[in-house]
Amino acid sequence: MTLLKSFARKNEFVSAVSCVALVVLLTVKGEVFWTAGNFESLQASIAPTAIMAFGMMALLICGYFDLSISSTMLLAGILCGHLEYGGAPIYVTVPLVLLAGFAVGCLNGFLVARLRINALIATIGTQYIGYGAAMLLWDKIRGGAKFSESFILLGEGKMLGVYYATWIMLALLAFFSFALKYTSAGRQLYFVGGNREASRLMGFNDRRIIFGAFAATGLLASLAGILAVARIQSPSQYTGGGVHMTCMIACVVGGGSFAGGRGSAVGALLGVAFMSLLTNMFNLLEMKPQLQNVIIGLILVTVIVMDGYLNLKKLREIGKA
Amino acid sequence: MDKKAGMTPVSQTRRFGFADWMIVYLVTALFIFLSLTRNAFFTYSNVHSILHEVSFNFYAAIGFTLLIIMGELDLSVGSLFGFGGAMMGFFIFNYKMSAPAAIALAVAVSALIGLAAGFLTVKFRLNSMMVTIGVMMVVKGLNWYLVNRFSGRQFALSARRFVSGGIFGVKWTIILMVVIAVVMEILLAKSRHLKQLYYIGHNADTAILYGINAKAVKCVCFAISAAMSAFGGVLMTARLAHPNVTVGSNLEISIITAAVISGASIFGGRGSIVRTMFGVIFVFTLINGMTSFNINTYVQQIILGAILILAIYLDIRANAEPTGERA
Repeated sequence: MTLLKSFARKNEFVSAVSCVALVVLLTVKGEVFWTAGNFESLQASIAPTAIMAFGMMALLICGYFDLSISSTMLLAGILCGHLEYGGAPIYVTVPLVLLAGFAVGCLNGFLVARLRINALIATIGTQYIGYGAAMLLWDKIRGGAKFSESFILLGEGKMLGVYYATWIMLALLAFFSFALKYTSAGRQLYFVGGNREASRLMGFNDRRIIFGAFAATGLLASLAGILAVARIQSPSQYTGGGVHMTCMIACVVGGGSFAGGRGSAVGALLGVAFMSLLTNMFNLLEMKPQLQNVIIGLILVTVIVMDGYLNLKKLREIGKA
Repeated sequence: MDKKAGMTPVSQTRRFGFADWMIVYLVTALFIFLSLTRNAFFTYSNVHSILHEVSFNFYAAIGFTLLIIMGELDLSVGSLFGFGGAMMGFFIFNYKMSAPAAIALAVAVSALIGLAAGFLTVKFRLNSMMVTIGVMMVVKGLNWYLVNRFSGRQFALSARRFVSGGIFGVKWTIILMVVIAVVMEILLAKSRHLKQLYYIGHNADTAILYGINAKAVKCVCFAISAAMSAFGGVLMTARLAHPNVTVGSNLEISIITAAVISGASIFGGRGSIVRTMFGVIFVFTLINGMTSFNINTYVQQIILGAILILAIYLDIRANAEPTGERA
């Protein structure tokens, strides 16, 4: 019970401990863990996912989530391919693709905040549409060439031995940590997620807050897509597969809650690190990808049940259930 | 019992009147349009083959409709549809079982999975969509794992020919579909037990106060949903003659669309099996029609997604409470 209590109270604590435990396990189990190559592949998997997880965490804090990030990421990568092969320079490609991601985020925000469609159904719908659109575009650039040098540099380039993508992720971590704590928009996310009705009565524009969180998530998903395809040097139809699930699990493991009102950017990063280390372990143990999916699904169910149990317990404590 | 009279099924009290059967007009309009524009559409064999396919998917929509009446959504129907077929293959290829035994076992295992999902949902008061999305992920992984193990192997003739049997030139799966739809419709309107679903969906707290065991009813319906999905998937797989990983993929999108477009509400309290049947007919006829117009599959996907969002939006316009929380 004390363990459960610490899970409830100190949210980042659990993900941090899990990460350390996984690192220890990986160190003992596999000789390849502490190698430069593995470190690079960990960065490549953590950085884009964490970038999206910050947006997902902002949404979870105000009580929502977005399942369409995987298709937005895929769409962004394929749009990069279209623009790059069309000869657009990098300073045109990147803003245009970010704009496209932002537009998808705004669509989600419109559906959920304005039309009040259930976030799960709305974003499953946009995910389905997004995949259709992305694959439609993919058919036209299938088997295309590599990206231009400058674009590849975005994914391959390093500063102080660390990928640009990781630096961008760290900058966003600093930004979100600051914004969630010290800006009025960030604080309002917690108020809206904690008690929607009360926040509305206090005069917050809850719809605008939710809309903003969705728009930001779309933007971040397209940024992640750009960085992911730049790293593998050409667009791929497999970019972003299942990443919405990874992000959702990561955010809840890292201290978020489906009930809203809780979470932090550091927690999101720790959650993503946990998921990446887990996948790293699966791969080092040479586990079949199908079985990895089963285990990740079981983790998702566990996390949902755990989250629900803790919320129910809290409600019972204050006598509301 | 007098007090219960005040709790009429919501479908009888809400506005919408003639529009309750809107889905029938939609299906008719779609059929007329396709008959006029496509020569090959309105032939016995084409309509029959559409209905044959519809019948498999309709089985997966039965439990879904029962759940949506109670305000719960089951997103695992598509994955269980595929997993049912994969399990059938697993039992036949690995344990040399006869087809009926393999099918019965596949359906039973799925029912247990559904029961587990239902139990977790009611026990911890979770959002059923979240739970079933987790179940979907687990089941999809298992499905993928099983199907990969026996790629390229085909069922024996006896294990697949039974699907295409029929009487008077009508396949038995279609006849079963119509019988189930009509019987369930009558039971939902008349049976004391099935009317409970509407009471729960309309106002769960009141229903519980009147002595309805809402948790047990929900668990049973989750099990029915999973079992019937697997049953549909088994038939579909038998028709294909081998387990295939694409069976049932994205089926949940089609089924939510079918249910909501035919008048069920995600807020609970509304829904009917016959109308869901017409909803499924609408969705699959639409797909058939779009294919006959040579519309790209991905464009079809975009159109279906847009229809889903539109249907949900109209549901919210018609059924959501005008004030308060409607997340």
